[in-house]
Amino acid sequence: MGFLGQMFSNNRRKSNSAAKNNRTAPTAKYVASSLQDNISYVNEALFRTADLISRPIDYLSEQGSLLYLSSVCDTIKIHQFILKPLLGAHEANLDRVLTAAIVEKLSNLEKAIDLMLAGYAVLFLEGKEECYAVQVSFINDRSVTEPQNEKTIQGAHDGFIESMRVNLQLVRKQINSRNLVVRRYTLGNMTKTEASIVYLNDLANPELVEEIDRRIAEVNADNLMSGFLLLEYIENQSFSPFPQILQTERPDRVVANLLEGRVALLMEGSPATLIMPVTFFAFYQSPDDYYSRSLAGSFLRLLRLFSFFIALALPAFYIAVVSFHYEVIPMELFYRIKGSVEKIPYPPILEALFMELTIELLREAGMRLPSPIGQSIGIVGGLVIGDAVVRVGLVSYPMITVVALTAIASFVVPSHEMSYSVRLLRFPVMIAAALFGFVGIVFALTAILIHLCKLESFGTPYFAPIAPMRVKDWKDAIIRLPFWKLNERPLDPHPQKLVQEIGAKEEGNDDRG
Amino acid sequence: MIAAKDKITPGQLMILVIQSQIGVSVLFLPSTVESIARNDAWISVILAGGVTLLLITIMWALSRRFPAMTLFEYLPLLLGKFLGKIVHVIYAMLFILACSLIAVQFADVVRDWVFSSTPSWIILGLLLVTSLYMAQENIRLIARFFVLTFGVIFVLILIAAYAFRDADILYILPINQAGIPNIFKGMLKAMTSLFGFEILLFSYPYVQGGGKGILKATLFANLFSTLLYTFLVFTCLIVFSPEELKIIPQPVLYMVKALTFTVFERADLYILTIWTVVVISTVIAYLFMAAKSVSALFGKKRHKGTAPFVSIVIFIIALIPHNQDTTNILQNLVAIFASVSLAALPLILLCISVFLNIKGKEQAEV
Repeated sequence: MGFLGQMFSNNRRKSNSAAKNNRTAPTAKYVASSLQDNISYVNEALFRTADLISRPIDYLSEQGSLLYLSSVCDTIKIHQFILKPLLGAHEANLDRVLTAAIVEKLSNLEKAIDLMLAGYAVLFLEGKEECYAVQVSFINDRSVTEPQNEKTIQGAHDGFIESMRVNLQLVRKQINSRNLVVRRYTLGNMTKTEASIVYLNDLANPELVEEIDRRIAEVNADNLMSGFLLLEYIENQSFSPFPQILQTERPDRVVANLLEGRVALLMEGSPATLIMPVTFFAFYQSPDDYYSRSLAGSFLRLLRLFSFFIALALPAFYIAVVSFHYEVIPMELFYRIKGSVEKIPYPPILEALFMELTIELLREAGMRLPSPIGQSIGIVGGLVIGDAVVRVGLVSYPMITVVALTAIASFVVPSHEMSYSVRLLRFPVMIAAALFGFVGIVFALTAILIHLCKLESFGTPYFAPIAPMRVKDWKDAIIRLPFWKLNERPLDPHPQKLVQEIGAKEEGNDDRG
Repeated sequence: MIAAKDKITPGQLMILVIQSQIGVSVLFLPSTVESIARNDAWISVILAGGVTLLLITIMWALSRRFPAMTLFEYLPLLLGKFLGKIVHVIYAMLFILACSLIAVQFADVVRDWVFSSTPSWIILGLLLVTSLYMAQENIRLIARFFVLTFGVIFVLILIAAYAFRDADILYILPINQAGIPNIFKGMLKAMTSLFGFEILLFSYPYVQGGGKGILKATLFANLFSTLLYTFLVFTCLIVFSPEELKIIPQPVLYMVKALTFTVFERADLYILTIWTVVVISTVIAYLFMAAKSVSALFGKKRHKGTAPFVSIVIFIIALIPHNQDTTNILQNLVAIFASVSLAALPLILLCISVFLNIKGKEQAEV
């Protein structure tokens, strides 16, 4: 009964938002009995667009016409589902003749025109005040391949594509539960993009789902054709350097998050699925952690978190040391570093900025060029510039080491958005270090920490389980213990059921062999 | 009524109190107390912890009678409108002055140890802007941040413990060399570093669970702070000879400066870095309390709008002292205000509340 109520409230909400979106649509116009009137009305409504095809049909000596937009319809399907059954028909009842999976009987002409835009062919018959809309949309999906930017060594190698239907199927294939709920939206006043949120009805917090629903329904924009556009409308703080919604193209990652009680948002036309709410640590997890052994997974996770600090603070630390706190370096190292830094005419912050900018340039150039040339750019940049710049005397060797290490550390982050934010945040920390040494670094890092503590994603704390501290959840956030140790789900999305596993091995009953 | 999701746990309260108590004096305390109580300084600190325990109990007993209110909501009930306003102003002055004092002491240490020629207004500005960013939020977010930075205190302990290598236990003998009067005078000095527990007055209604748990958490916090201070004072006493302690103002820094680890040198710089985080937490706590009191003075419920103005006032006050003497004047002023408003006033308010039987409403939901 509750499920039924859910469905009804769902529909009501949808019609509400549809009413809001369609506020510019003209009043309903009904199918006329004259065939010619209908055809000319459709023609006018679509401003005589060139891809509107009108094919006359004789059906049991009745005059008819099939209207469709050739750009969105599949001619083979039209032939197979409409023309062939119609021409061979002996029956008067069209409902039995049209064999396509989705056939709608309409009297509202405006609705019929909207359906034509979505890939339906509409059949008008002389003297009937109804028309038949048959779904024959042209499907041109690419095959399901592993996403370029989220490769794993082990584990599943499928990835989302640009079709929501296929993506939903990939999710459903893995969660065979009747609790998996899909809520559909049509977004964008002009683009009319299909989107849907997916969640597990018995896990996801209802308040969270309502909040996401409210935020999506509140967006009123002409263009919402991809998840990236929608993301900025629904996230908490757009000016925060940290991403608050996880984007992924991996079905296994989406499934794992759904099973933690989070909500996924899929959009037609974009392979990136948005997962919300997420914490800071979600960006440092990779599906690889779960496909390798617990110890290895934990090690990799700690390594990645460590890389966050290196990428953020290592150049700043180096700048502070060589500009203010020489004494910190042990004696033997001191002379070597001093020897190479002394020959450089510029302050360390300029050196660092120069090198960091060079690396960013190389990265950007390598990304824009086709991959064979991109690689040679990397070699030219890495080897030639790196070596020459020291010989010329612009940058010192220790600085090159530091910047290179930092660049590598920022590549380790499994998520692109987080990698960008770390790269951006590095600069203020470096400037603070150049101005105030260690004290400056502390103030900059404290400000970042305060920001992380303040940030919330859909009402859940972003820096959980560190702030608020919940050591229990470290088992799956900071390290990865064996699955039989992860008795409870993470608390941050406030799932309805916390227990996800009943202790199988804990009570010493694992010595059955 | 405070919603359940805005509440903090007793554990968070404990760390909130610890972080407000432990502040600048981590560096100063050993030499200030030692100058009076000589090699018995560590006894003074323990005694100070005992007295603070008493003060906390009084404060808790007062807060418990008004479980759903903060201090400024029940002040008018106890003292009437006019007197209540005066006491309110005294509290606000205490928090503003105490915050300024912390800022001044921080700027002094940074000037002495790291940046001798950087004008102090830059350091003060950095400190206050960073703290303001956190202090304008509610107590729940502040508690989260404090729990997060709590870990650095243990790093502090670890580095200081390394100094035991050079310790000579004979320095603290004979016990009671300074005499009991001096130990008590030293205790009064040590009391000022344990201030900060007054955050209980602001956080009481926000803590989950009953009054007993709150008392327990606060007393644990006080115990922790007392032990930490005692540890630091004790370490300094056994590492430095009495003659040395006389000339050095920040013994903890000198102590770790001499340490060399194979991987890094100059541990004092790292200690300073950690200490900066500790000081930021304390400033956040005091800035929060100051902003709360000032906004309550103007009848505002939220302190977000008031906080920037309060920090500007603190900034200006902190700019005034130019030498050790003026800093000492500020220090004495804070000590007077603190003894009035943290020792005398809670006791008086408690008595009024008990004898006139004025009580706040019980909380509907706990």
